[in-house]
Amino acid sequence: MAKIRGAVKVDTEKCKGCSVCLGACPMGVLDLAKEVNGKGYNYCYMKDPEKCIGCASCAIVCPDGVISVYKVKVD
Amino acid sequence: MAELTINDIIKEENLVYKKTKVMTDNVMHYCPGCGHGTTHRLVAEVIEELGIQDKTIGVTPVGCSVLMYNYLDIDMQEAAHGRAPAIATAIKRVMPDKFVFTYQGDGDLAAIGTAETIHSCNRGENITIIFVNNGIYGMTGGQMAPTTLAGMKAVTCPRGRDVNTMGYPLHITELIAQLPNVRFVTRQSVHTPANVRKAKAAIRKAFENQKDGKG
Repeated sequence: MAKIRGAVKVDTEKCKGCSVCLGACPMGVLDLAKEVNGKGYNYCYMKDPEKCIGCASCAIVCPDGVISVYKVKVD
Repeated sequence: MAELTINDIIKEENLVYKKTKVMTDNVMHYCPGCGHGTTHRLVAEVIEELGIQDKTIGVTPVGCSVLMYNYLDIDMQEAAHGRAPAIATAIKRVMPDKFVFTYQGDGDLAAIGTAETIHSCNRGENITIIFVNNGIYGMTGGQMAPTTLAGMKAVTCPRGRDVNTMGYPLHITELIAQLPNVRFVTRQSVHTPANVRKAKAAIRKAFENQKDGKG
């Protein structure tokens, strides 16, 4: 069965760590990093990249538009 | 089959979503998680989808979103506090082929600019008004606004809004919906992905109504 694999790319320097995307993700892929970016915010990253389905829910709720979503079909 | 790595997935041809080109690359000054950023992006996406980037004129309010012109790559005009519908009326009447929208918070639209809002809607001006309501004066430190809900706490009503002394909240959306000249009024939210999609559909419908000259 074809499987969808997704990935998100976060512009970590612009991320403000508001965690809106964490609640929006249906698969629980995203989490806030322990490290901080140049502004002192814990930016978001993919904790569990295997689970991402590329649904773009995180990107459409991101207030700062820092998330780009990629999706590929795997046989 | 070899395991896919993230770098295999992150390629230009696999892109499904990225920030629209109508938005600039400036970092927004809003607080983390603020819905203004989402709403700005929805407006920008609708403008891009309708292909009206060079035909759109936005009117910004006074409030947090006063600096909206930094983030949207379209023509913008700054209005005096609460007077954005009046400016938008003028712009639309001088240039009827342009798409004119105002973007206002509740302190701007429902407090100081109540008269302008109600009268421009009552005249049935062919403009789009995007009203962002957080029920509080957020920029100045969280004071009670006319739209603050009953029982809601604010800096100037720490025990919650008491309707006996402070009156009931002003539901301007419902108020405007009564007017016969108003074409389309809706209330949306941007806190979950489903609601963001609904809000985008609503903004798109508002712009399409303007295109059809229906106001």
